Amino acid sequence: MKPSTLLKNCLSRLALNPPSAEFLARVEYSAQEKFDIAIGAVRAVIVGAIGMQDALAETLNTQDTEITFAPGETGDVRHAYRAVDLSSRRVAASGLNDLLNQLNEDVKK
Amino acid sequence: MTIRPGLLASIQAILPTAISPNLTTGSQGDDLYEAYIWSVVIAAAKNKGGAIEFKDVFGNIASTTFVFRTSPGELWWQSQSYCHAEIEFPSCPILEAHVGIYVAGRSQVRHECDVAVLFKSEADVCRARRVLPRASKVILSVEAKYYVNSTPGLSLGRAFLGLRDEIQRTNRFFIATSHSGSVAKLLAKHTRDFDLQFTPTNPHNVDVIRGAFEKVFDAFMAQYA
Repeated sequence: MKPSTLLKNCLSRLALNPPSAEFLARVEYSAQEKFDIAIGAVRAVIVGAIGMQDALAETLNTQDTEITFAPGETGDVRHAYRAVDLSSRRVAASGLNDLLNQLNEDVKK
Repeated sequence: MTIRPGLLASIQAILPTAISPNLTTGSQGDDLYEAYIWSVVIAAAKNKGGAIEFKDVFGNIASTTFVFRTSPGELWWQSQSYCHAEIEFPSCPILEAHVGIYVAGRSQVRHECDVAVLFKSEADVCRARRVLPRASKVILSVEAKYYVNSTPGLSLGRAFLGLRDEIQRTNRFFIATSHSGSVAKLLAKHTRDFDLQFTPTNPHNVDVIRGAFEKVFDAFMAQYA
């Protein structure tokens, strides 16, 4: 079969049976998406963590009681915090949040 | 794109003072995230007029120490004085809100619930007999995913949908820190009870989910009105 005939056959078949769904393909993250993930991670770990620690302490209505995380069925790591000890980090996290906002503005200009 | 002079140096300088020494690994962030979602559930119950009391596994009022699980465990375990919240709405059976407990699914297999609200009467039976709570007695549960340096994979969404089949479909929430287009697309086909950008840095998302929790409590109270 000539290539031109083959192409014509394919085209007419496509016209009769248009593809019913899109083909999925792997797409790499763009530089902007990578930047957003990195900034989001820093924000979640630092600014978000302080917010979560404060919210939990507020729910438990405590500032100076230790809130402890102890192993359940598995694990052996134990960690704890007291809301009263968060003040210096709270200020730093707020400052960092402002700086990340500035960085975001500059990158998107 | 022009980054203003000194900005990156300022970020580098402030980072060490801002980061929590307790949150240096993903798992520790995960522990806090589950407890945080639990606190949002408690806030929703309070908004709906619920009276809250914090108790430990021995039945004592928790006031001097609060212990949460870092990995799932049986509700009745006494190796630590794990705490939970008792929630009491007028004229309704008392509820308990727990973090990281196992629950028996429909197939009698145990499943982890990162956050679970269940009847106190069921929890009392479990503590007395050392058995798993039945999924049918769990009125609200949350699957929490703390992902900060990547997005949740599609397999997590699939696993959650499977879990819903096992422990009832209604009022089962999937909550994560970072957005994933494919997980959102998958879940959106099956449920509205999910949020993939749930952190205190996105207060609107937290408000929306708190509202959804409040609706669960509304529906619960309506049954006893």
